[in-house]
Amino acid sequence: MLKFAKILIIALMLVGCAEPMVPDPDPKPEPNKEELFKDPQGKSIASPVDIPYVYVNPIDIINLGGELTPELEIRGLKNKVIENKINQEISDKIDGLKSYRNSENLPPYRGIYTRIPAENIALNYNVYSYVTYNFNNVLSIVFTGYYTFNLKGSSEHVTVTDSLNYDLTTGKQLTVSDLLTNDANTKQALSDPLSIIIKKSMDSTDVLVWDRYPIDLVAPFKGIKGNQAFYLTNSGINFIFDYRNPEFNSQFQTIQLSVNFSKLVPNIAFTERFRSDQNIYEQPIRQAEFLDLSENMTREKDETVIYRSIEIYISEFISADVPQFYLDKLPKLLPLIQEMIDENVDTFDFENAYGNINADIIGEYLSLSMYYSIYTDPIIYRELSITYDAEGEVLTLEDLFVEGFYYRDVLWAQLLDTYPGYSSYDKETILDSANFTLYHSGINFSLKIPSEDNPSGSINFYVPYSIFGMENLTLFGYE
Amino acid sequence: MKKYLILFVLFLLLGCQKTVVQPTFTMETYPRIDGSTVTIPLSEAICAKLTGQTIEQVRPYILHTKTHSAYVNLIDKKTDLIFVTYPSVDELKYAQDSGVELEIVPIVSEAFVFLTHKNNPVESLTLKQIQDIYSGTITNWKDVGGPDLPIVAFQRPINSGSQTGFLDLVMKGLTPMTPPTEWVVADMGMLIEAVATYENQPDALGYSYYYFVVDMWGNENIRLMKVDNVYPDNSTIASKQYPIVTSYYAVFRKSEAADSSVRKVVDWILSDAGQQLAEDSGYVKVR
Repeated sequence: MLKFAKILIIALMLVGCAEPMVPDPDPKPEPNKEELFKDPQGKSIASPVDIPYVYVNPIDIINLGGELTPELEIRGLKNKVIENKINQEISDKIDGLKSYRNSENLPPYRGIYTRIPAENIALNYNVYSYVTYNFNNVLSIVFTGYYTFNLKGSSEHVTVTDSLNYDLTTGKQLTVSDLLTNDANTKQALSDPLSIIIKKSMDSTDVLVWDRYPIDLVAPFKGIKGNQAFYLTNSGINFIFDYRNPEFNSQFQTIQLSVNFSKLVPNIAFTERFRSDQNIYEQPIRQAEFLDLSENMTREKDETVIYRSIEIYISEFISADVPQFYLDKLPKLLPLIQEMIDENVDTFDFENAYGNINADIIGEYLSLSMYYSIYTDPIIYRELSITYDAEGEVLTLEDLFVEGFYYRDVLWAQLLDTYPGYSSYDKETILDSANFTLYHSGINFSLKIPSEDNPSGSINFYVPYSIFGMENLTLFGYE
Repeated sequence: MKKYLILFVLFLLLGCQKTVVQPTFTMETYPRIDGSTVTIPLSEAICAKLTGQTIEQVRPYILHTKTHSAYVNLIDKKTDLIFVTYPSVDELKYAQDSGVELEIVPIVSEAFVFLTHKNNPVESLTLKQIQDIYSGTITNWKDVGGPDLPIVAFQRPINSGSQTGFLDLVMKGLTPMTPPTEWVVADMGMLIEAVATYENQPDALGYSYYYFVVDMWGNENIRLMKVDNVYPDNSTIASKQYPIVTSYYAVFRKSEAADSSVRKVVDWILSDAGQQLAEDSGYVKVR
């Protein structure tokens, strides 16, 4: 009996007092189908992708709202069914953002109902929409709403950002799966640079966090989702993190993180995926630009040197993609500035001098520019610009334009349009002095225009490629 | 025989009291909750479970105002239950001065982990070696069985949460060396990045809390260091085999009635079902 009791108690201890069955915890939820990565749309694109330049979609972007609160509509697609569909979705998106002025409709930001109860109407709100990318049959639009709720004397601010990205050939919206080549691991290729940004930025100001709120994670970042919100710019992909990414503690705001195209080359596919042999527009395609594909300012340097009691400040903005070979061709900046100081220190009274070097890759071209000055009155400065083509040959201004195109007439007309007072100057003398620097969407010209006050005077002015027309520019493959 | 019968009855009466029935709430009856950032996913999961809703449905109703603010709100009776790290001396004093006695219940485990490059041949350090490294006594990996390379021992800023944990849980009163400026990394994530990429050499050592390291995207170049030959994982942290462990706590006013909503929630968190939910939410069970 004793033995039985012992066994009974031991058995009870082992089995009987195990915690009684409670309802099983929920099984792990099935992955949300919307968050899965879809198959890429459009043409199959394999790496490496070369993107020398992109064509501007010839659509009109109409502002139906005021100047301060633009509301967009597009016009110019041949297929009006697609055009109407896109415009309806843009309109719906704007209406959705406007509806957030009523707190009942606000997006489910974490904790928002504890601060802004239902049945509150925003004291102020503004909704904006902008086209951020419009090339090679892809259109990207960003929408932003700002709302201020007044609650018993205190105010709560809410920001909502959303986007629409279109393949204009079909009117279908893009997903992140469409962005990179079919042979790329899209989730990894896009999440890796984001992860680095997130890790570096949690307390740092040295990152692109547009809403100025530090990134506050409540859980580890496990990569982007298949339905991750994003929009395109001419330099990268901007990802929107908000209530749809609950690992981010975005408060009642959005966190936007940009992955530069330089991190994604040669897997960028959206520029080629939706291109078509057919012109889908009512107007011919007449404009082209360069995307910003180069590594940004990774060799940025600031330096201050004292020479003959003059403080010389030197800055360098050099893309990491620029080979040292070309930088070595530039004259050394400091001796040039010192020489300028030597020439003028006994004549003028000045305390500071400045110099900078810029170097960037523009399409297949390499653009170097150097500027240095002493802070006299008027400022005395010199500048130098050199552009190399893909073969390493220096480009002249004439080389930029197709034979037979009277670029000087266009340039002079643009100059007078900007500076009518120069009409009395000799056109040919001024244009002969032209120095130029390529940028992604246009050319900056430097022209010597001496005056009695400033014999070494010059001006800079910028002309978009569209003014010349892409068919007149060798940069875009025309001869 | 009588002795065994008494034992048997006592066991029936007392031994099986761990029965925890899952309480149910509406959003109106659910206790007012606050807490730290790191416990937000746990808080949302618990609320969803006990109100019969999805996490997405309850998320707009859960607001954690961070650790110190949560303690102040609890002591000021503006909230009823907070999920936080252990109170600081200042917070305990504020409670005492306010005449509020706090009940502090560990609900999930957390560990302090050391990170190194995946190619670092040193797999384990003792706690003493870690203390010696960070106090500047050991400066070369060869002194802990590794290659002849200086140890790049990263630290975080003094007022950061990880540094507080580092001083309390690891250094335990020892004074860490003053690191070169570039080795003081501004944030937890940046620290991970620095260890992963530092000249691509396996000579770096950093630290963080386990929760943020274990599933973070992009940590494929990181390896967690064994401490006293124990690798930190859910099992060794829950069992406290891994030596540098702490907890996240449910904290509430001791004056809460025995049958209060607050105590029902805390009791349920400590049940098997509650602990399983915590683990499913990315945390380590407390038992």
